[in-house]
Amino acid sequence: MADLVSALLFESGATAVVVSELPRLKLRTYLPDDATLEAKLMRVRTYLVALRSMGLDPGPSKVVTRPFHDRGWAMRWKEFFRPVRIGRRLVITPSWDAFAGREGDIVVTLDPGMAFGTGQHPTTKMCLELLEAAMQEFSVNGSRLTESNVREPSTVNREPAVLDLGTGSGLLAIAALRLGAATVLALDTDRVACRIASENIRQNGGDGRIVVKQGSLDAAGSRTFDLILANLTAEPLISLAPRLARSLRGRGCLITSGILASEEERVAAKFRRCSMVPERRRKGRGWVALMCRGPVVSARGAG
Amino acid sequence: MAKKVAAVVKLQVPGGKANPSPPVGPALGQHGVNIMEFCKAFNAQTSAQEGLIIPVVITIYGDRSFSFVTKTPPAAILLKQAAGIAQASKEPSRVTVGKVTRKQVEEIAKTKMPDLNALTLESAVKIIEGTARSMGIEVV
Repeated sequence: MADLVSALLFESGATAVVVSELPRLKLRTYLPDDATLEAKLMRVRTYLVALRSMGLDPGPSKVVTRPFHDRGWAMRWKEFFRPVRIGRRLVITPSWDAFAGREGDIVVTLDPGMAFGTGQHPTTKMCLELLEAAMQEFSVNGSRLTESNVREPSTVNREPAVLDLGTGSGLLAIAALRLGAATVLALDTDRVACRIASENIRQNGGDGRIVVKQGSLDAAGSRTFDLILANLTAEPLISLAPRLARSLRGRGCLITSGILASEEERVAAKFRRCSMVPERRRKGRGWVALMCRGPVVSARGAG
Repeated sequence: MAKKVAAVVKLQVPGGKANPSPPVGPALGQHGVNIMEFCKAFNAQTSAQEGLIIPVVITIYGDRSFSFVTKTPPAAILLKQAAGIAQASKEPSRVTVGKVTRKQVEEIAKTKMPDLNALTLESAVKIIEGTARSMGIEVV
């Protein structure tokens, strides 16, 4: 019964349905209050009557509408967002928390709003750990030497150019800059995420060196990067793998996260087929992050 | 020691398409769940099921952490997909809007078996046939 009515709600434009079963079955959804609303509600009422005539008596049923008032529920989790220490030096702290760090700490203050990335989720945390390790390599090796210690012509800058694909709150982009990136291009397909990322970047003094653009990898054009961060999920990582490989400058680093452990092999196999070799791996709470080295020594132009 | 359960929330969300807007945001946010974390985890797990509605049961613990279990898509959604229709009948007792074969119903019954109160495939098929009738879908 619930499934039948819920299917009807989805047909009417619901984006999700909340199902409560006690004390009695209740389905809740949100529909725009526009000219079509009354017709949609009438269809549900008619259908409930029709079910009765089919011998499926839903019992006393009613369709009730109430205007939606945002009571800040969507933001209530912020009460539980506390400063979190990641890797050796990074500390992610909410913008509303007066955090006193230790000497040498790299503190990123953040208001993630409705965008993903607080540093508390294992996918972000593992990405940050691998980022810190990669940036350490850049600062030690400068231009990232190949195994044969041949300086790669496309990675001559000591400070790497970074791409953060799916930036969300902008956390990874800010962390990359604070860890020593020369420039960061932060991309997200979501308009709200871009706005939030821009605000966080401003708050962390990243204006000018971090550029936020709305879009997917296409928005980077033909630019190449020493380091690419992509905390996405398995499917987009697999479909973007060939383009990610082309966007890496020489044997630069690709750090990916958001991979379910059950999807790791599929993602890693695709990366290998694109000549990106997984070199490091983190695993936590069913998620996996991979750090891969770029395909070949290349002399493509600077980004 | 097992963590204390603070709430259990049941949702139906399109596979790979969870987002923090209502009703997902308020339903989880009122319990202190980080909504974006749920959306990311749900979308990762269901990205192969885009186009289907996925029921999900979210258990929220006292420390605001959560776990979730996804269920098989509702029979009504699978039937619409099998019949190739966008909408069920407004008056299912009078107007038929599509057809499915008995074999398709059996396939749906097999898919739904883990979540149905049915001991045999035959009884699961009967449940699915009843759902089809309630949508104005004829079983041929």
